[in-house]
Amino acid sequence: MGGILIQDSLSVSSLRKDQAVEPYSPLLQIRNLIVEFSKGRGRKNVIRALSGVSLDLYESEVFSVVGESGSGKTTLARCIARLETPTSGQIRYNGTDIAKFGGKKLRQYRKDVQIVFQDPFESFNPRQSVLSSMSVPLRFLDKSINSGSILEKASRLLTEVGLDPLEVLYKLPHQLSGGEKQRINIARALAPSPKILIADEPITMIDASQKLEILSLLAGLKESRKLTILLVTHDLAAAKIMADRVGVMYLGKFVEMGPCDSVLALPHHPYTELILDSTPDMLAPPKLADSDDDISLSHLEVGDATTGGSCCSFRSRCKYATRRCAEVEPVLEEKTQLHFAACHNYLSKQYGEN
Amino acid sequence: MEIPSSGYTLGLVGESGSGKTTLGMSIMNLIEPPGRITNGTVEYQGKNVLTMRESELNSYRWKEVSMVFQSAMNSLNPVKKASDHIVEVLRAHERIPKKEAKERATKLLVDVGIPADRTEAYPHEFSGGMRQRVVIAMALALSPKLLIADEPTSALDVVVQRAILKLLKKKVSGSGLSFLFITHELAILRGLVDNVAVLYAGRLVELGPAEKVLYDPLHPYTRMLVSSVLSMKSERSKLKEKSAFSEQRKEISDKLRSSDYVLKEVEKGRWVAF
Repeated sequence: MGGILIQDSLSVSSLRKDQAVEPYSPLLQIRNLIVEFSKGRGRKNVIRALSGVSLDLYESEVFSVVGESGSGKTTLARCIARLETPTSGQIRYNGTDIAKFGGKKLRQYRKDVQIVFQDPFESFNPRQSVLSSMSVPLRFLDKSINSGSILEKASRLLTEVGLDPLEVLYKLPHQLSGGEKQRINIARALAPSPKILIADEPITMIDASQKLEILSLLAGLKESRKLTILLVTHDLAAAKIMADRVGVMYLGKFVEMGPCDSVLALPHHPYTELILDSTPDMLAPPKLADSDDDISLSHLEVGDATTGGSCCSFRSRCKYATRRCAEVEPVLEEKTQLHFAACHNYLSKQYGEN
Repeated sequence: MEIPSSGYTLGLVGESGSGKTTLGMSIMNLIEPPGRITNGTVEYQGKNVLTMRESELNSYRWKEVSMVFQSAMNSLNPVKKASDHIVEVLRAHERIPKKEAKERATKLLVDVGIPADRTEAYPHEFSGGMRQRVVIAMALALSPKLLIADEPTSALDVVVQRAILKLLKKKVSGSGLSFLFITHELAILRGLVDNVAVLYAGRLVELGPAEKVLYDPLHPYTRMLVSSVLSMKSERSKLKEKSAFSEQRKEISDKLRSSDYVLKEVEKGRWVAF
């Protein structure tokens, strides 16, 4: 139930055509991931944070997961980092199920997959200097490391994220700005030389003037370290300039997925259209003045995560909904090349309504 | 800075720590120790708010000037129904019977888009956007002349954010209500307010009509702020602009921190710090 049909074409490399395309297997394969949280006794008191998510992540691509709060973005990120155990489904890393990892292999996996959390203000010990919080992962990685090499390695990592080690090494967290803290978080995550970096809303808590700098730091790291980045964000503009592919989540499922340029320019799902329309944009004509806006309240309120069954979960908010949406759950289908969407009715504006 | 009496809408932007909230709080005379207003005045219709007695403040706050605080939606009383929050506000300021207060409360809630059958619900039964609507209804309950909204949408999703902004815009336009909107997001000011003030390190650096400040900024700090805004029209190449950017910022912040400067009116209604 709730499975998403993944067609073969998705497992073909999603690199752009002008790049050398050779068929190679994904770094991370996620199949039919379901995560349930119980909120009380009984079978009905279950919230499905993820209900059947499938995704392939390729080496050195940036995949951006977008969606509103409660759509399951963070749960997905936590499952990949093995901070959450899925109720069912599988995550394969280089072909092996990560649930089967233990001991040495698990330690290696934890090195390979690093996560940067949303709130840079709460991820530091307020009494630890930057140097000592940097030394924690370094000591963990190499038990026999001496303080000279810690200093050297920490400095190198800080330089890599665009900070001046001499300036920040002996500072305490409260002496740093949000952007600086987030850079140090990234530096700490880079210590074990990860292959996959999960960035969970890395720019949400940061001032506008520094957002762009954090994003370009991540883009630079992707190039220099050949990192695969899973960028979880609700900022579509950030996804647009960063990501190769983007996946739109709604109530625990991907409702649309495909090349960034295609999904954000010509969405095939009404939910994607709705969030695109709602994103404040300085360069687009103002939308607040629109008097003929036909989006009613019911379209704006989030649906219920507990209701499931064989229907489209976006149905109650959708202005294109028909009877079929209440009877048959739409699955992800390839609408245009490599661009998947789960909707019976909606056709992108490009093709005109209907 | 002056906020004229009727229908003036001002967006106040700045980074965290620039003093946006402090300014809002000062207008309400809500600065708590260890903070202290050491200098200057806040005048409301000719009266200094900062020297008002407690009783005067009681009729000034909420009735004349009301404020939607940052994350206020999380400060609703969990054991009180939505309508009872409004009844409390009404009865604290006006001598009216409970029944009448209840009727007015229901009307106010329906006015901000809460379905009539949900006005008796408890805060936890509402989504974030709905709770924010309750808070807005509370702030509007006594028909204030000035509404201050401090980051009312920063914890909300874009779709809900748009709905709340539309609601605020609807309430403000045509009602003669003056409006001070505090935010760090430049992009949402467009179409919402007529004027924009930019705050940096506790000082105003630019103030003027929204269209001009946002699209033809004069102060280098505003210019940098505007150019760093991401838009759906931004291209990937924007990521490469940043190196020039950081230097620029350093320069600006050094300059702004060190020198004393004053706001000068460069054209009518447009002020820039030099």
